Amino acid sequence: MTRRNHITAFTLLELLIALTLSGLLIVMINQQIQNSFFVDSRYKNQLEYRLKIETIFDFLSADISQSSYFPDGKKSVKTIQGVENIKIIIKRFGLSPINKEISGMTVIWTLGSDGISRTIRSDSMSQTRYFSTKKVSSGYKNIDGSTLRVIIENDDFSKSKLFLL
Amino acid sequence: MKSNGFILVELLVALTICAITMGLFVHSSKNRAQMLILLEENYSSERLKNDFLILAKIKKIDEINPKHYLPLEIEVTRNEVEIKSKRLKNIVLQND
Repeated sequence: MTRRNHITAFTLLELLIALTLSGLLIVMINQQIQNSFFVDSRYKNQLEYRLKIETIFDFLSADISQSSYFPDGKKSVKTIQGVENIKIIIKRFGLSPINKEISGMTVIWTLGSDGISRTIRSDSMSQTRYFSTKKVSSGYKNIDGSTLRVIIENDDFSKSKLFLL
Repeated sequence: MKSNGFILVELLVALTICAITMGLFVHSSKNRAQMLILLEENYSSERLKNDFLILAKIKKIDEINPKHYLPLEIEVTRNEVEIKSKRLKNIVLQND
């Protein structure tokens, strides 16, 4: 007497279709994951970085608008063009983080090959904050003596902002 | 002997759910990019308004460089600056 077992499982055709679809899905998921890493890095390096430059302009604008004045009525803002960077030196009053008293301080913005940084120097302290360490090309232009244009650019973008002195 | 495994329809349903998830992921990535571009446009627009006010006072509107305000598309003429971007269309900055 022969005994026959009838097993209901995938047929060969079903198995081949499932394997094909699974293979397709694995390739697609792999591409998607690689793509998402690439896109995320691109967003961080380009779009989010460009937004950071916009906020840097706002910080710079706040420093310039709060700068003290020379006797001739002009703001105490000095620009120095270096080989690979520019420095914007602003004299202003501010609250000292050490003794909480209002004191005179010098704010130095450095824009160039080392990135973008803001240094605060006063009698009691000296502190540097790096907003970005990515290399940028920077420049400035004095328009009619009382208006300063600061330009920040790299391979992907070019931005500028005007400041009244 | 009877094995209760996946049937083809169940497998297809699972694959469809995976495909929908991936589609949503792609969609959210696109949304993120659009949101960042929108934010940058807003920043550029405010910067342009600030620069225009300064340059209008000294009558040097031609100093505006459209490249510095990207992704905002602008057109500079002798007396005015027109924003051509889709979202901020019909904004015209005029020198009185």
